[in-house]
Amino acid sequence: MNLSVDIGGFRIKNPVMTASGTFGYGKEYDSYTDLTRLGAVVVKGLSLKPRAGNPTPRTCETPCGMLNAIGLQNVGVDAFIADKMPYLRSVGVPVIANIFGELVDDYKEVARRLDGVEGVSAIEINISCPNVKKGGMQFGIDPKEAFKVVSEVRKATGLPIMTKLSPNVTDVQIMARSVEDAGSDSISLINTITGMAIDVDKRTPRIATVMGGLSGPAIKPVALRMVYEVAKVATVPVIGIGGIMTGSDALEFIIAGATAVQVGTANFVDPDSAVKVAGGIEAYMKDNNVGDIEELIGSIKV
Amino acid sequence: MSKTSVIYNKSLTDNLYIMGLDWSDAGREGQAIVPGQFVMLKITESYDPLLRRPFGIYAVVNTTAESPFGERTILEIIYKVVGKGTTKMSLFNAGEKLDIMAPIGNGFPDVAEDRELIMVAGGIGIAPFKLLAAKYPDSVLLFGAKDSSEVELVDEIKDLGIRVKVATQDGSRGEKGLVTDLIPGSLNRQSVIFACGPIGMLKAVSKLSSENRVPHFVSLERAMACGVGACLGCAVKTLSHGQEREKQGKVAFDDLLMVCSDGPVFDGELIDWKLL
Repeated sequence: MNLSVDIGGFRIKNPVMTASGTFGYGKEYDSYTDLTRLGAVVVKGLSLKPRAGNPTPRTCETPCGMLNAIGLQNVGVDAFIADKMPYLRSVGVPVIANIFGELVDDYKEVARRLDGVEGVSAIEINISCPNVKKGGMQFGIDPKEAFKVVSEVRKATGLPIMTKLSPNVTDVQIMARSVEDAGSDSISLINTITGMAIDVDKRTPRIATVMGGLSGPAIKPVALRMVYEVAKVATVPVIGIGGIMTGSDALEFIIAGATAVQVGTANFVDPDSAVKVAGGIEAYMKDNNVGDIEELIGSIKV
Repeated sequence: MSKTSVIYNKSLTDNLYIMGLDWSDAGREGQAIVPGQFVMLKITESYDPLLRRPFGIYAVVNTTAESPFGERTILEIIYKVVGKGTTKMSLFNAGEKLDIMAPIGNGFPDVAEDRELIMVAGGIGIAPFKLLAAKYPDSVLLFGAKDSSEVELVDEIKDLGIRVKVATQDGSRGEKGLVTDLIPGSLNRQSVIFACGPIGMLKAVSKLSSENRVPHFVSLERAMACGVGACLGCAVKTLSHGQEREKQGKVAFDDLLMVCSDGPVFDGELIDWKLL
C-alpha cells in the first residue's frame, strides 16, 4: 500500500505534515509523539531578524476553535539554522521552513540563507503578512504583490517552494493562479481566518491585538471549500489545511483535491494528532481496498 | 498525555471544588511532582470546549486498599467554576474519563536550610501551597480573599500544622485588608517569598519584595493553548534574562519566556511587570 506523495519537487512518505506555528521547531513535542512517523514538519515561521511577537493575551478559545495573535514570534532564520536544525536533522524528518517578511527583500534573503541548509527539504512562503511598503496591506490579498514575493523567492533558492494562501480574500482562485504562475511548486491553504472575541464583563477584546486568526474544527468547512476551489485551477499539488482533527477530516481534503494535508490546532489538543491522522488514512485505505493514495486525490464525485 | 478518571469531585463551597484524578498507572509513580507544577486537562472528547486547561497540582494522595477508593495514587486539583468548561467539570461524577498531560512546567525552587519560607496566596492561588506546606513545616502561609467564602481552602492547610494568617477584603475572616498587608509583619532577613494568585497581588508582592530585598518567586498564569512551549501563546517578557539563558546554554536572542514550559514559576525580579 502506498501512502507516499510528491508535493512538488520532493516526495514525503505519507501525506500528513504538521502546520507552521503549531509544532514549534519540533523538539517541543518529542516526548509526546514520534516525529519520524510524520510526512514532514513545517516549522514556526522564520523572519530575517528575531521577532518578539505581540503582547498577551495572544490566544483565546472560541466554539470549536481558537483565535491566535502570536505575532510571528521566532528566533530568526540564523538562530534557526544554528540552534534548531541540528535536532531536526538528528530525527531525520523532512523539514519545511516557513518564511515571512515585511518587505519582498526580507523574504528573498531568508530564502537565500536557507538554500543549501542540510535537512531543509522545502520552503513554505507565508504571504499573510503586512506589506510595509504598501501601508501594511497583506501581500496575500493582492495577486500582484503575492506574485512579486514568490517570483523573488524563486530566484533566491533552488528549494521546492510551497506558497501558503490566506483565506481572507475575495477570490482564492485568482491568488492560486498568481502564485503558481510566479513559480510555486505547490500551494498550501488555508492560513487562519481573521476573527474576534469580546469579554462582555470587561467590554474588551479577549486578545490584545483585538483581531486574530481563527483555526480549529470551526474553520474546516471554509478551508475545505477553498481547497476544492484551488484544486480545480491549480496544476501543482495542493496541500489542505484547516481544522483537520482526524483521518476522516484529512480524507475530505484529499478527496476534494489535496495531495497532502497539514495538521495544526489539533496538536494542542492531542500532541499525537498528526500521527493518528496518518494512521486514520491508512486504515481507510485498508478498509476500502485502496492500494495507492493517488487513487483518492481529487476523487470527489460531483 | 494519558487517560485518567475522576475518583472524586467534592465541592468546598458553591463554586470551589477539589477533584481527585487517578494517578495510579505504572510509570507515573516514579514521577516526583515539584510543588508549583501543573496539569493540562482535556475534559471532553468533544470539540467544545476544545483546548485543554491548566490546573495547578494541589496534592498527591496515596490511599490504601482499605479506603473507599482502594489502593491508589490520586492527583488532586482545585478549581473555581467560572465558565463553560468548569461548569461541566463541577457535574462530573466518579468514573468520568478525562485526558491529562502532567506534570508540566517548573515548580518552586528548593528553600535553603537557612531561609524561612513565606507563602503568599490569593484565593484559588493557594493551589501549590499544600504540597509546599507539607515540605516545609516551618513555613508561614499568608492567605487573602475577597470574603470568607474561599477561606475553606485554608483549613486543609492549617491541618498540616504550619502558621497561617488570613486577610479578607471585607473583614469577615482574619484581618481586614489585602494579603500584602500581612507581609511586612512576617518578614525577616532569612525570608524568601513564594507567591501565587491574581496578577494585581503578584505585582504588589514583587514590589514589596524588591523594596525589602527579599528573594521572591511567583507563579504566573497566561491563556494557554499547547502547554508545552510550542504555540508561544503564553509568553511573558522578562528583564535581561538573556544572560541567564546563555548560562543555561539556551539561545538568548530575546527576553521572552513561556509560562507553560519555562514557568509557571519565575524569579519575580526577572519579570517585566509593566507589561502584565
